[in-house]
Amino acid sequence: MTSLDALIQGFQLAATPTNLVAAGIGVMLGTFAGMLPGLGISGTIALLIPISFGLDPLTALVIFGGIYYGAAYGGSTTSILLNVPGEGASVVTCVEGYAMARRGRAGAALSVAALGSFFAGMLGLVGLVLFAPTIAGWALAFGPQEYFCIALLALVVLSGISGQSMVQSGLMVVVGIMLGTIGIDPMTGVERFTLSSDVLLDGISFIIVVMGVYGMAEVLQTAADGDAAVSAPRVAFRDLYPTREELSRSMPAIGRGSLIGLLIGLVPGPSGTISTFLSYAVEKRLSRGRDQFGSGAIEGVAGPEAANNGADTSTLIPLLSLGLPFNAGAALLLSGFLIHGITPGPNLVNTRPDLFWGLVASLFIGNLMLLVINLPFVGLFASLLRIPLGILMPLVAVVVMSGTYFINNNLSDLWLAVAFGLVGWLLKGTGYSVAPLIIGLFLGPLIEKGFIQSMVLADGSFLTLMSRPFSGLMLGTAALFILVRIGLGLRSRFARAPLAPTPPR
Amino acid sequence: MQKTDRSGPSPRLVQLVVAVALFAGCSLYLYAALGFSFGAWSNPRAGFMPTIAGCIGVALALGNLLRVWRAGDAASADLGLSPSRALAFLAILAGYAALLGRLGFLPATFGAALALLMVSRGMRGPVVTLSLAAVFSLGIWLLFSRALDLPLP
Repeated sequence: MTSLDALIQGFQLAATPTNLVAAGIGVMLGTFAGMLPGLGISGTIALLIPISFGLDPLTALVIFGGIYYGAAYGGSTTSILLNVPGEGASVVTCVEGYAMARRGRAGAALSVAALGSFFAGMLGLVGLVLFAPTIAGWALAFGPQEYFCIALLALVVLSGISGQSMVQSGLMVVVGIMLGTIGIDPMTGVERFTLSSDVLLDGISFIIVVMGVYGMAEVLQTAADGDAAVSAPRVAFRDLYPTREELSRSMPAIGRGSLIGLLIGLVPGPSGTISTFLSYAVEKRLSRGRDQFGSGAIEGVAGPEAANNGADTSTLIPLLSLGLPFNAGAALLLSGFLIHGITPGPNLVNTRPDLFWGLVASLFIGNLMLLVINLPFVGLFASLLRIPLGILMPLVAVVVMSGTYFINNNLSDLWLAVAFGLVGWLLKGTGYSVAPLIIGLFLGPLIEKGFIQSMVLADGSFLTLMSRPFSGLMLGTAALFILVRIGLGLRSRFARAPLAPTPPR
Repeated sequence: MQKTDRSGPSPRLVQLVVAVALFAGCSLYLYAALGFSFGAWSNPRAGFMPTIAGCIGVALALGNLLRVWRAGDAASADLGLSPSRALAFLAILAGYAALLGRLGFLPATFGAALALLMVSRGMRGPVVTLSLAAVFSLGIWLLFSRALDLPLP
C-alpha cells in the first residue's frame, strides 16, 4: 500500500462528522487559548489537554491537531492586534504586524498570516507524508547506539540554541535528566530517589511535569501579572481582504518562509523562533518592500508566519517517525498522545498505521479548519480578548487541576502539579527556559537506556558508538556543534575584552 | 485582577535564591547518587547515569550561581507585579489538592473556584463572583461526569 492509499484511509477514519466537529472545537479552543497574552503554543496545549479526556483516541488526536494549529495562529493574532508576543517565534510578527495594525491593515495582516500558516502547514504535512514512513522504516533497524546518539545530539543542540546562556540551558537539561531517573530503574530494578514514597515508585510522570511547569506556571504568572488592560482593535470581515499588491508581495515570502521552516523544523531546538528570525532576515534582504521594514512590511508578516508554521509541522517528522520531540511544542503534543496510550515512533507507523495515518489526516483537517473557521471569526476572537483574565485564569486553574487528576485518577498527582507549577513559575520568572527541562526529562531515560545497552552489547567499548554509520554521524555532529559553540564563545569573549592599557613612559 | 504596585522580594534576591536552590538540589542529588552502585563501563549499574548527571549538574549549577552572583542580571527576573497573589493561588490550589478527596469533586471545585475568583477580583461584585463559581463548577462537573463519563474523586 502506498503512502497515498494509506493517507486516504486515514481521511476515511478521521473525517467522520464527530471528528470534524472535534477538529473545529480544537481549532477554536486552540486559537482562543493561544491568544491569551504570553501563553504560547506549549502553554496552550498544556491547558487544553484535559478537554480530550474520555474521548476515543483518534478523536483526541484530531482535537490535538486542531489545538496545535489553532494555538500557533492564536499567538499571531495577539502579536498583530496587541503587540504582545506569546513566545519567541511571534516577536517579528509583532514588529511588522502591529505596525500594519496601526496603519489600519490589521485584517490584511491577519489573513496573510493565516494564508502563510496554511500553505506552510500543508507543505510540512506533505513532507510528513513523504518522509515520516521512510524514516520510521529505517528506524526499525536502529539499535540502542543510534537512539542514544540521536537523543544526545538533540540535547546538545538544544542546550546550545535555546535562547539563554549555555550554562542555564545545559543546567535545565540536566535537571530534566535527573528528574527522569526518579523511580525504579528499568535496567536493574533498583529504587532510585523515591524518598521511600510509593508515589514516586513509578517515577515522575512526564505529563504531570508538563501540566505543572507549563499549565500551572502560566496561571501563576498571569495571577502575579495582574489584569492587564486589553484594547484589541475591532476587525470586520470585509477588512480581511489583502489588496492585490499585498497578496503578490506576500506569496514569494510565504514560499521562502515555508521552505525555511520545513528545514529548520528538523533541527532540535526552538525551531519556530529560529526560523522566524531567519525568514525575517531573508525577507529584509530579498523582498520588494524592504524599505518598509519596521513600519509594517507585509512580507515581514507573511514570511515569518509561514516559517513558524512550517517549522511547527516539520518538527512532527522526527516526533512521529522516531518518537523524539525536538522542541517544547512537540513534547507537549507528545504528552497529549501518551495520555491516550499512543506512543509515537517507528512502531506506531508500522504496527498501528490506522492511528498514524488518521493522525496525519487529522493534521490536514486541523490546518484546513484553521483557514475556514479562524478567518471569518477573527473579529469574535479579538472580542474574546476583552474577557478579564481575572475571571478566566481562576477557572483555567481549576480545569488544569481537575485534568491532572484524570490523567491517572490519582490525588497525589495534584500535589506534584502544584509543586511543579511553583518550580516552573520561579524558573521562568528568573530567566530560565523550561523547554530544555521538559526535553531532558523525556530524552534522559532514552539516553540512559541506549547508552547502557550499547555498552553491555559492546563490552564497554565506546567504539561501538562510532563504528555504526548513523550513530557515528550523529556523535560527530554533536562533537562539532560543541566545538563550534566553544569557538564562538571564545571569539566573542576576546572581542569584548578591552585592549591592554599602554604602560606609561 | 486588580492592579497593585510591585510587591515582594527584589528580583535579584529571587534570582540568587533560585540559583542557590538549584545548586543545593544538584548537590543533594549527587550525594544520593553516590549511594548507588556505579558499575563498570562494560556493565553500568543503577548509579551510572545519576552519578554522571549529578557531576555535570553540580558543575553547571555552580557556574550558574557564580554567573548570577557576579552579573546580577536582575533585568531578566520578572515574577509579576504581585507575586503574593500567585502564592495565594498556589495555596488555594494546594488546599484543593488536599480537600478534593474528602469533600468530593463538586463542593471542592466550587470552593476552589470561589476562592480563586475572590483573590483575583477582590471583593468586587460578590453576587457575580458567587454565581460565576457556581455555574463554572456545575458546568465542569457535568462535562466530566456526564458528557465524558470520567470517574470523579
